[in-house]
Amino acid sequence: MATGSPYAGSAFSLFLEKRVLELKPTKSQRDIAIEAGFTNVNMMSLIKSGKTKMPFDRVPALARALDCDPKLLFRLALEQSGGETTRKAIDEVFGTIVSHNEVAWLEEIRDASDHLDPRLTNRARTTIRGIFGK
Amino acid sequence: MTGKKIVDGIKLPCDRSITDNEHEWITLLRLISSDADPAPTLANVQDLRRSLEGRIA
Repeated sequence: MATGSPYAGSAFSLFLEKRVLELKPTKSQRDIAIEAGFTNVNMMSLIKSGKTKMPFDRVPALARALDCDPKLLFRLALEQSGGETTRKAIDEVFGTIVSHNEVAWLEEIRDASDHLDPRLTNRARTTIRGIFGK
Repeated sequence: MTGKKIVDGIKLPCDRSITDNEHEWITLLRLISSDADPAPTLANVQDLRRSLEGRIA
């Protein structure tokens, strides 16, 4: 690879960096690596820096260690692998990967709209942006 | 009351598919929150409801 960090700046790397920082008061990066079952604790640094990608088989354990939704982590790992066609195949066979919190949002949207399947209008976009202060 | 017996390692998929419109909502949420996977709060839901009720009325 030209840069040596082909996955730098990927959503997975950024998410991992953020969660490690957020969890710092309670557990170290080394603790997280051990909880996730990485035999080489340097894997965390390698993934964060984008030098290597997240192995799928460690996703459930890492999600537990990071206290986050495994579906979110799996989706980000899939994106990191550049597996757009794989993602589409998974979506088709198993359904779109949606996290627990995303299901909660969908339930609220369905409930608030009387299950009318509302389109994402400009007004709705503005509301969502307002909710997240963007 | 007897407890439910759980079979480890087997999960049913979500029994409802999402629509194209819902996919757009989720995509926007992911984008706006930078994949932070936020849970909806009471205040968020109230804002959302006001927005949706306004356009349905």
